[in-house]
Amino acid sequence: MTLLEALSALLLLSGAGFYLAGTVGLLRFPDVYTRLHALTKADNLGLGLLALGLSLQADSLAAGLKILLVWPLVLVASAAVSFAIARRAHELGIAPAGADSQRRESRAGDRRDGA
Amino acid sequence: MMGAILLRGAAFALVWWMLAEGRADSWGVGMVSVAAAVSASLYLSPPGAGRLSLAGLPGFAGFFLMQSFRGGAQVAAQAFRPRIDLAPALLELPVTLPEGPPRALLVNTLNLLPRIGNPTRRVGLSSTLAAPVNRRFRARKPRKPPVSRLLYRLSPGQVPLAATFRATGACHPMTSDGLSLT
Repeated sequence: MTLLEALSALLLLSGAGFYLAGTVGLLRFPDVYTRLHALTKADNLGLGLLALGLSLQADSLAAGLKILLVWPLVLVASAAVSFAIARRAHELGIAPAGADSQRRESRAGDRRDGA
Repeated sequence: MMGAILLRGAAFALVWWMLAEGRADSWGVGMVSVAAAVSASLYLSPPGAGRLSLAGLPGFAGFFLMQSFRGGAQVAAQAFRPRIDLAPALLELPVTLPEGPPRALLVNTLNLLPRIGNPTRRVGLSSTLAAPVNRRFRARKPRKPPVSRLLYRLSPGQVPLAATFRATGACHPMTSDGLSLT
């Protein structure tokens, strides 16, 4: 295994790890906003690492760059889609999970600080 | 106008070269595609009015990559935590960036920023330019969060951000995140 192949394998594995994390987050996070967050951030980073790892194995420079080009294009698409979903959820009046208790705790925290 | 055509033509030709994986026999279709792409881009986004600062682009790209990595790592770590103690909130952020591409860029970049706000827990979302805030807001001296650094980055170029930042003393979920635009 050459150094390049090892590096590629490392990138591919860590990319897969971020995809797994994104999916776990999607299942475990409390509301639509944070779930979107898991998808956009973890998956986009995972995709970036996958693309980089695959491009190292490409046959030519052009083919490698082509694989890398996938990443910014998907970034634009997924950022726009997640924004649209979040905005729609917001318009429908869906509050972030635990918004009320959070406000109370925050005020209690302020009082403690002031004392 | 001529400069814009040449620049865009070169950029699209580069994209075609990548798509065709360097094959020379594809340039017949390629030239037609590049010409179509250039005319579409001239129609959709006319040159002039200083859209994008090319000089600022590498710096922004580096910043973006760095923050993407941090953001992804944070969310991943949070997902695997035994106990999920996220407390998401909406943060209204007044901006004076013009509608259209500059604001879209800001919103889309915000999507990838790591924890906004202060130490302890981090969550995020972004909707109507909303940004994530934390559960325990007790920091007396808020550090400058990534969102303000981002706005700094976007403002000095040709994207006018007719606003200056100042850090405020207080952090409150739902109101302000230790920064305000004035």
